[in-house]
Amino acid sequence: MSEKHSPLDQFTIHRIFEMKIGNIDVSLTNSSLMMIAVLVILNIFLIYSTKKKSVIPGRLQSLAEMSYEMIYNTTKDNLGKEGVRFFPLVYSLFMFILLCNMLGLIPYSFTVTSHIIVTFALAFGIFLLATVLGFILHGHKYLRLFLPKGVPIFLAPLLVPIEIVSYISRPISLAVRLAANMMAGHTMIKVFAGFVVALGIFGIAPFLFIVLLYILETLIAFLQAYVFAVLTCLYLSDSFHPEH
Amino acid sequence: MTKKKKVNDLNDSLNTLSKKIDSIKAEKISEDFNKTNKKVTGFAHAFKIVSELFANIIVGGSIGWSLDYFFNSKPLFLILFLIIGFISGIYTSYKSSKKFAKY
Repeated sequence: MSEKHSPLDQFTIHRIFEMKIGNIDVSLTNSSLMMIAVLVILNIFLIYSTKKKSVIPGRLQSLAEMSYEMIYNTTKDNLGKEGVRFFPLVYSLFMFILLCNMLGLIPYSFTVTSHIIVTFALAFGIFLLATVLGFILHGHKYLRLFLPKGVPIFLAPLLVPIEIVSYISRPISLAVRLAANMMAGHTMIKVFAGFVVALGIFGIAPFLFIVLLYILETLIAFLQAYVFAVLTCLYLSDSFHPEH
Repeated sequence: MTKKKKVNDLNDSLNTLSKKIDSIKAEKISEDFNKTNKKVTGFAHAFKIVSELFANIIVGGSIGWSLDYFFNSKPLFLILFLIIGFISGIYTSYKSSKKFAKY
C-alpha cells in the first residue's frame, strides 16, 4: 500500500506485452509505448498541420511553422550556412524531447525522459556524431580542440587532461541535466500531491501550489528540450571550428 | 480635376502613414521576441553551467577510478583526476560564460 503511493513509483517500468528474441528481452514496456505514442502524435500533428498550406496560417499551422522557424534560426546562428544540413536532426530531437516532456505531464502517463538511459542514449549519439564529423572534416587537426593555438607548451600536461575531461563530460552533462530536471519536477509534484491527501481540509494550500508548480514544469519541459537542441548545435559547431 | 488630385494626395499620404505604422509594429514585435529569446537563453545557460560543473567532476572521478582499477594504484589517480575534473568543471563553465557574455 505504502509502496504504491511512493513519489518514485511513477518512474517504474513494467512490461505490457512480453516478447523475447533469443535470450534478449524486447518486451513492450510503458516507456516504449509512450515513445511510440509520441512518434505517432508528432507525425500526425506535423502532417495534418501542414496539409493545407494556407498563406494566413491557422492555429495548428502557425504552431508547426513557429517551432520550425525557431529551431531553424538557432541552427543557422550556431552552425552557419554549411551546418544547416543538420537541421533535420536538431528539429527531430527537439520535437521528440519536447513531446516526451509535455506528454509526461499528463497524469497517469509516463515520462520517458526521466530515465537517464534514454537521455544518455540521445546525448551519446550526438557525441559520437560530433566526434566522427570533426575527424572527417579536419583529420588529425581536430585534436587541436584539446590544445588551442597560442597556449605555451609547458601548460600542455595540465591543459590536455582538463580539456579531455571537459570533452568527455559533454554527453553526461546533457543527459544528466534533462533526466534530473524531469525526475525532480515530477517527484516534487507527487510529494505535494501526497500532502493534499494527508492534510485533509488544509490540503487546499498544497493543491494551489501544485497548480503553480505545473506551470513551472511546463516551462521547464519546453526549456529543457530547447537547451538540448541548442547544445546539440553548439557541440556540432565545435566539430566545424575546433580552434575556438 | 484638382479635387481628384487632392484625394489622390490624401490617399498617398495615408498609405505611407500606414506603412510607417506597420514597420514600427513589426520592429516592436521583433524586439519583444528578442527580449524573450534572451531570457530563454539566459535560463538555458544557467542550466548548462550547473550540469557542466557536476558532470565534469563525475567524469574526472570515473576516469581516475578506472585508471586505479587497471594499475592497481588506489587512490592515487582517483584523487588526481577528481581535482582535474573540478578544475575542468570551473574552466568549462568559465569558458561558456565568456561565450554567453558576447550576446
